[in-house]
This record gives sequence, C-alpha cells and structure tokens, in this order.
Amino acid sequence: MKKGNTCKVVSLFFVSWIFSALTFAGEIDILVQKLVEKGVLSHGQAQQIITETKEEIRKENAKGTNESLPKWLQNMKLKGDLRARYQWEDKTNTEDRHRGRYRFRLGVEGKVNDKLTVAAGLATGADDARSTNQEMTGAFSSKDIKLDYAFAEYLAAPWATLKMGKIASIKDVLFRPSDLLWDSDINPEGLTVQLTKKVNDNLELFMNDSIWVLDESSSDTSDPFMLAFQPGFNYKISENVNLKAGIAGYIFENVKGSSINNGKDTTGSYNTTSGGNLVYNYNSISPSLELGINEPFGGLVPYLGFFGDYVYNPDPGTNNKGYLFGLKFGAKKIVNAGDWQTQYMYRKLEKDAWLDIFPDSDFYGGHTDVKGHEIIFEYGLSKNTSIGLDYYSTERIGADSQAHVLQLDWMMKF
Amino acid sequence: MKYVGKCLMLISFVILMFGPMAFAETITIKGSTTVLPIAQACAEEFMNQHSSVDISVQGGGSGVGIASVVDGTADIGDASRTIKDKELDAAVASGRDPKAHVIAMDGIAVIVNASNNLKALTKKQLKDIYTGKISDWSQLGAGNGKIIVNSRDSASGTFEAFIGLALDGAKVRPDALLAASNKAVLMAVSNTPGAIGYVGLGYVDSKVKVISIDGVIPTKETVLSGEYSLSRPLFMYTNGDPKGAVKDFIDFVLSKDGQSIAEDNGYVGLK
Repeated sequence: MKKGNTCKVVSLFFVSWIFSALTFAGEIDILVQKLVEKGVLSHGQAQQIITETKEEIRKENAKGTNESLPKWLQNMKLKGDLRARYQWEDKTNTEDRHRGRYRFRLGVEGKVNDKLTVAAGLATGADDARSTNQEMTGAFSSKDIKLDYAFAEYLAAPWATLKMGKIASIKDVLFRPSDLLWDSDINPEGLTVQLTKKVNDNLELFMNDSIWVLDESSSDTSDPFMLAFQPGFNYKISENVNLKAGIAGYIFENVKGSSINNGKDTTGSYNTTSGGNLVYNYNSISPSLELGINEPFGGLVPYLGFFGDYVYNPDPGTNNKGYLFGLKFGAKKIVNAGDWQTQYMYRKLEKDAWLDIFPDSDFYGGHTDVKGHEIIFEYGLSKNTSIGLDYYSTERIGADSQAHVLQLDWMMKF
Repeated sequence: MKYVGKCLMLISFVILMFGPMAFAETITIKGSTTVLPIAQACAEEFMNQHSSVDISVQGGGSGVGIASVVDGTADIGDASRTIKDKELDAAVASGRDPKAHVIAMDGIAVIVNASNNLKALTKKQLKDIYTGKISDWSQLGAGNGKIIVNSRDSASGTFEAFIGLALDGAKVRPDALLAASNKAVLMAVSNTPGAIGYVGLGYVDSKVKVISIDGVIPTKETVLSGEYSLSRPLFMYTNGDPKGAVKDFIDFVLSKDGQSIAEDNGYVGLK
C-alpha cells in the first residue's frame, strides 16, 4: 500500500473512532471540514460521514428517549382530541336553536406483544351510539365520561386482522366513503375479521367480515345481532388516480319485530313500526366507491375525489332504497396550517331502506325518510388544529318538513 | 441399470435447472422514485455480475421505502430524505435499527437561455418566479419580456426536490410549462430566449446558462459540500449494518462503477 493511502486509511479509522465519541453535530462538521481542507477526505466522503453520523446520533437519541421510559410506558400510546362547536338549527314548526357543544375523547393503546394490541377510549356524551357531543347545559354542572370503545386487535397473519370488543371505529372496519348508512361515531360491538391480499403493486383486494351484537335479553334467546360482509378492491389506475370500491351485504337476525329503532327520539322512528316494533327486516346490500385523483387540473388542487354509497333493502317492496353521491376537493387530509378541503354531498334515504339507528345523526336527526344536501369546509389553522363549517339542508320525503343545521367547529388533536 | 442412468440424468437436469433458483439470494428494494433510476440501473449491472442474486426494485416513495425496511418487507429502503422523527421513534420502539447510507447527491441547476444576460438569483427571487410573483425579466433587471417558466411534471423526483428545496413546499404557478424529462426542459430552455428551467446537475450542457443561487454556482464540489442550497443527499436505508448480498450491493452502489451509474442518471456521485 502506498504511504499516502495508508495515511488516509489510518485517518479514516481515527475519524470513525472520534465520531463514536462525539455528540454534537457541529463538532463533526468542523472536524470533517478540516480533513477535507487537508485533503484527507473528499467532499463526497465528507458528505457521507457528516450525514450518516448525524443520522446515527438521531437514532441513538431516539433509543435513549425510548429506553429512559419505564417498560410499560414504552408499549403505550396516548391520543385525544377536543372539538368545540356552535350549532344553529332551524326546523319546520319549531323554534330556532343555538347550541354550544363540545366533544372530548381520550384514547390509550397498549401493545401486549408483537401481534396483539388492546385499545380503549373515553369520551363525553350520553348513551347515544352516534354522538359523543356534550351539550353546554346544566349551569356548569359536571359532565359524564363514557366508555367509547375497548377492543383487542390481533394480527393473525400479515393479511389477516381480528378485532373483538367495542371496536373503534366503524370507519376502520368497513369501507364507507360517506355516512349515509353509518354515522362515523359508531363503534360496533362484536367480532370483525379483515383480510387483505395484495395482487400486485396496483391492486389490493380486501374482505371485511363481522358479527356484531345489537342487544341481549335475559328473558329469551332471540337476541338481535347482525352480520356484515364486504368484499372490495383498491386499484391504482395510474400514478395519480385511484379507485376503491366494495359491496357490503348485511344480514340482521331477530331485528324484525324488535324495538331497535330511533323511537327514543321525540319525533318517533321513521322506519315502519307497529306497536313500537319494526315491521320489516333490514337485510340489505350496499355498494360503495371512491375515485380519487391527486393533483388534477395540472396541480391546481392537491386532491379531487368522487364518492358514493347505495343501499337496497328488498323486504319492504317500497321506500326501500337510498343513495348518496358527493365530491371533495382540496387537501386529501387536513394536517398542516393552510390545508383546506371542501365537500358537497346529496343524499336520499327512503323510509325502510336502512335501520334508522345508524345514519348520520346530524342529517335530520339521524332519521330515514329524508333527503337533502350537505356542504363541508375545513381549514387547517396550525398543525393538528383546524376549523370547520358544516351545513345541512334537509327535508322529509314523506312529510312537509325541513331542517337546516349549521355547525361551526374548532378541532384540536394531540 | 438403464433406468438408473435415466434417473441420474433427470436428477442432474433438475439440479441444473432449479439449483441456481434454490440457492439464489434475493434482495427487495422499495422506495423513493428519485432514487429509483439509480437503484434500477445498479441492480441490473449488479445482477449481470452476480448471477446468483435476484434483485426486485420498486418505487412507492421515500415513506414506503423507510416503512418497508422497518416492517421487514424490504431489504433496502430508498429515500430522498432522512427518516422522520416519528418514523424513527416507531422503528426504535419496535426494535428495528434503521441505518442510513448516503449513496449520491441530488443537485438541481437553474438554467436560462444562453442569450439571457441574467447571472444570479437569490432563492427568494427563484421562488417568486416559480410561484407567480415575478413574471417579467424587467423585474430582475435582465431585459424585458415575459418569463417562460419551465418545470418538470409532478410525477418526477426532480420536481419533488425542487418544490422542497427551492419553493419551501409552495405550488408551482399554473402557467408553468411542464416537461416529462430533464432533456425536455433543457431543450425548451435552449430554444426559447425568455425561458427559465431547472434540471439535474448532470444534464447541464453548453446550450444553456447556469444561474448561481444566493451567490453559489452549482458544481460537484458545492453540491457535495452542501454549500449550494438546491442539493440534498439520497439514501438507501437498511435494518442494521447490511450483510451478505445486501452489503455487496450497497458496496457496489458506492463503488466507482455504481457512482458512474448515478452520474449517468443526472445525479452527483460521491467519488
């Protein structure tokens, strides 16, 4: 070996040893710069050493932070959000309402082992499955906190996940581009199995299978429950265009003849009932799809999406269909300051198309036999903070009654 | 006995046909579309030299590359950025050890037509040109006439790098002309007197004029030293120190041959 090369090898060895002891990136930069000036290192080697050493230091710091936490805390994650809302309501034959509302949720996730996770969440609200809003009422009285969800998630295989308990949330166990059938606050109770199969880089198949318990009676064995099956696919048509679609089949057992309906609402259930009990079954079929385009119109907006849901319940013969179509554009997700998104939706949900305990609770009180428009605008104020405006213009299909709702939200996540 | 011979021939044939497959080592590479051309070209050359190694190279973006190394679905994750704190914390929490290997530098040269008397821009002026605040050469003291803004299309890694490094994430003005390749930008700028564009440093030729940014002309040295602001390192991530065929491949990428491949694709080699 030439004398010069020997010198370089020894110098590099020395430099590597020094770096292992250095903790400040600035010291590394100065030393490497000197070695470049002396001709010991090339600019390329210097770039490699500086960048790779900084990355190693970041990693060691991350390890240190992680290891300095108690073992039980290393396996836990905490998350939460607060939403403050002003809501105006104008409904036919009733006085306008001006409501102050808020929602607080706190969730914890614990890793039992590499394949098993347990998660639980608390939230404000009463016992309504479709809302965790708390009304500003009761002259500053203390408010209730309820168990919002508690479930176990087991990764049986890279392509199979099992979830059991009160599962968070409906959005994660069914592909549903809108809340035509399912309010996004619903956390179903029971068992869900989710299967995925990646066919190639552009195509992924999925299958969601669930058995969810609706009620239990100690006096008889005909407890209401439901089965949900949803095969579907996610197809990347091109670099910027994606199509996701699924078709859900729902089977309800012991629901016909039961009192599982929206009758608790003062306006009564809009499903057909007799003596307070449901007259029809709600076994139904529901296709859904979302077409997403990244940076359409030469990048004028970051995202444009078209989506829709449809439902058909064969049992009643009439008033048994529902549909929603909508579009959204702007940011795909509101994450940072300046991100914005606008959505428009039109829906029509006939009287017995679907059980009236599940649809969006803000759309004419969450009933069926309704139709109308919804417009949403959301804007990112800063990281994890946004404001939103949601306007509903709704009406009954089978009666002359309208409801207009405006919601102004301030949302914070942590 | 003749059956024994036939059996031996059959066994030999099976071993000859499938033996190399059984003993072949496979390397899966996923990630950044910016690094993809280097990874693909290096993989091709490496497989030519090592017939027992099979390399699969896929894109997906830097996030996919890093996530794939962390979840073990790739041996090498290509990235045009460093690992984010969130990704690093998640990797460390799950007992993984993401290790960064700088494999080349990405340097973007800002170019104008050779007839243009402009020599220098500040980074702010460059951003103002590309976001629409400056539209005429007179605003820069470089004659009169509309600035014809050329950009790469949004599918390109160079576009992604330019948005991050020069525009701080802002959007390119809607009237910019979008080109599918560095060569197309080079041709458009060299043929249009009022044009401005940007290309990978390796593509610059004498038909266009290279502009200094904040007083620094892009050269191999200024890019490698980080002095030139429109530059960034490109990475291959592995889980811990690479071993076996993965180590051999990364060594090849960092070798003189591998670095030549990087330069042939418009990037700045480390050698």
